[in-house]
Amino acid sequence: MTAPLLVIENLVLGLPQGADRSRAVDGISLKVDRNEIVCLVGESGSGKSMTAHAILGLLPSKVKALQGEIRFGGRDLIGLAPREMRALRGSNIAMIFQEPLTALNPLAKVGQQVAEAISIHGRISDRDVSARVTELFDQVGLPDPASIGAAYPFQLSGGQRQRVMIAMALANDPQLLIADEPTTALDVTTQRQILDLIVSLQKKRDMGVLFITHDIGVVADIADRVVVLRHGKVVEQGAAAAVLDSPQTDYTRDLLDAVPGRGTIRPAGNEREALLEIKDLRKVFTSRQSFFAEPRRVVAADGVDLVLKRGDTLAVVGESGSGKSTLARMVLRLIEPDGGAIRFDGAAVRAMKGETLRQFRRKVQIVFQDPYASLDPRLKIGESIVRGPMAFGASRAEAVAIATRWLGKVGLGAHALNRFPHEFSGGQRQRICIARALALDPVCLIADEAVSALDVSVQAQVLKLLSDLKAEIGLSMLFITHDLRVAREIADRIVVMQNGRIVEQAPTAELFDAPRADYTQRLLNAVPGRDFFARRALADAV
Amino acid sequence: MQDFMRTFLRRPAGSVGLLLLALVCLLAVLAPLLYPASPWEMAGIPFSRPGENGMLLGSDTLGRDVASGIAHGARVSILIGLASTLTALCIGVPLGCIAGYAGGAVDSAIVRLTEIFQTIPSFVLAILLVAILTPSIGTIILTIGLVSWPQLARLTRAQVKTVSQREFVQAARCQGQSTPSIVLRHVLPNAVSPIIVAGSLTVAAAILIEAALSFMGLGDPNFMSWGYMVGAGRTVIRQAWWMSVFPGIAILLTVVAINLVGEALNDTLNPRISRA
Repeated sequence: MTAPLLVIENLVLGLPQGADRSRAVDGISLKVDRNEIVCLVGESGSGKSMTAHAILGLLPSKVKALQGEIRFGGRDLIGLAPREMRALRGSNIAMIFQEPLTALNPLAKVGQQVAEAISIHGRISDRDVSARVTELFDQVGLPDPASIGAAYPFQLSGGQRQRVMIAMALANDPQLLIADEPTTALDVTTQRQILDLIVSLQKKRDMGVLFITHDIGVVADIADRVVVLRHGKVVEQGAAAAVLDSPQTDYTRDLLDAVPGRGTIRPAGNEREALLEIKDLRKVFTSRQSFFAEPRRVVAADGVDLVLKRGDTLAVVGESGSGKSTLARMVLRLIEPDGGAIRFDGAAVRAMKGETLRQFRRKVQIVFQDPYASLDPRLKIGESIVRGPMAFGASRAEAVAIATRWLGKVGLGAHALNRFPHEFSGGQRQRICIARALALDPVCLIADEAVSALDVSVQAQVLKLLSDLKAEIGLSMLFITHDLRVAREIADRIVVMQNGRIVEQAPTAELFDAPRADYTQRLLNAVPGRDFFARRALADAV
Repeated sequence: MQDFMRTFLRRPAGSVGLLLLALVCLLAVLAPLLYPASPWEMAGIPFSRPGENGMLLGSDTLGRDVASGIAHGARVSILIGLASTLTALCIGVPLGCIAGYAGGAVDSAIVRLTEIFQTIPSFVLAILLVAILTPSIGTIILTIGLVSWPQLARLTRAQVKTVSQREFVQAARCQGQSTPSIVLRHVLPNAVSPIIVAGSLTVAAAILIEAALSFMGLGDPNFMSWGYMVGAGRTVIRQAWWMSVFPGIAILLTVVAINLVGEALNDTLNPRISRA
């Protein structure tokens, strides 16, 4: 056996004082061999990105390596002279980042950016660089590799940008590729393509890959070995098959169990009256880049028809740009539709004004995607919640009583009332948002990607909370998500949207068993870890 | 409130700024006791260096006591700085708020109005207004307020526009809160930090505009001000530096004090910092 490519031994990274813990990474040991993919899995704050950044010396200035070694090809990378580190970066060790839009320079053509990465290390003559760029673009599967180099990052889609990033990373034939959540910001179908690409390139080039992700599904699809991290410590590591099929620790088991989309499907409800009816809803966004340019048209809703029955949960599933969030906002009249009808409990929503609209909004509440953005950072939690009931005539004392009750129901105590949003974690904040929405005693709750920004285990808790509350108070729910697994967990019926159009609408069980539209089929196939979880479900059933 | 004061004073910027500002105010209040004679009165030999002829900070070209001028000038400069900034805020912030939150035609109309003010050089406009309104402390304050509001309005508009897109504002709309309540309680508090900083800079600018107006002979002839002193001493700065340097330092200290107070106020209003 040859020596491993990368060895991390007992690495300790210290955080500055005042952080939530004193060590970001606390004694991690792992190794990556040639020609294998090692997945580093963990929830946010587990120290997985810090570990990756430590390898390339990209740590924030306040984080210091206190102990341990990172050996690459026999050299310790900690304390390497900046000059030598620069020679390694991008040549022997390359990195792909999470957000392809911010990782590329917006003002330079993508071809130039890749060419620069090659010529910095000066392995090939300047004349051959452009040929090499074209070759790389071809390898990563970009369309029309000869001419796409002249495009700017904003002219490419998210998946194409990530391909450019990968081309850049591969430019100097690295031995080790570090991928920091490279598919998290992408749609499922694009994620599938990028994962396939990384795996095939890795095989072809005998690279070692350190792949960082929070998604167990992705791990199941690509990993040779798995390292599970929690609070900066290694919880478990081993061959992928071993860790996933027979996890040794409770934490790994919890992570596996938290992945949505494995529970029993809710039986479709019996025929009930319609609560929310949407007919032929239309919305086109036009934006003008400059005075003379042709205005750009984005179709967000193109004849959307859907019905939410009283007491049901309807999931709207689609990729980014499919118009699902716009749909939610149009229902609440936060965005005005161009045409079509919305009827709530028989009343025409689009004709509502002033007090009627206010009363309508009380009955239909929304929980937004980003729990960090949807709470007023300058208001105490209690104040954020009580303002709703107070706007509808409750006295302060009554409103505080309501807020306390709901905070209790979502699993936070009355002590939360007097604290500010930044004192809570993402999952807690999302619970607060749910409490705020429910404090108004709504009939219908719209959840706009309400669990997408959360870690899987927290996601599972919030989903459970929502379905418990739904059962308890008979709420109807419009649940918007890009994740079919989540939709499967919570919805009675699912609507699949693409480019502002509904491509399929069916009860959950039917949609998963026998999808009719090609697009639904494609979405289902793209779900990461599908085979693994199917196997697991089967094994559980036996 | 007690909480608020405690956080405010715990910041070094807050306590130092407040201390400096208190000293300047004390000087303004005590001026008639320290220097009972009029600051315009010739008290000694012209061009006395600091410390000569019993004058702590020297005398100016006409033999007036510079120290007495600074003490008496503190009242006018502080009054003009604060009052005209307040005037500018009272015009600029509401207009910016309305423009930013309402959008559409209202927004365009208000933006055009600010542009009209911004295209005229503000100092020329100030001279014109004071000349028409006849120089007095009231008209000077009003004038400086009238030429300083457009920047504040634009800044407020931009801030309000970004904050009102945030999800918590949409959430407040969905909670059924009224528009004034949303703007006053959710949008403005989150938009206020740069406005406070810009406001404290406006105080400095106002003191300087007053100085320039006095230099042009358009100050209030009944009141000594720092600006007038700098203006008057400027021509002989190579022979007699103290005439313009000491009032200049007074302006500097006041402006720094106000900036520090503004900064500390901003930190205190932000729970993320104050509760850390």
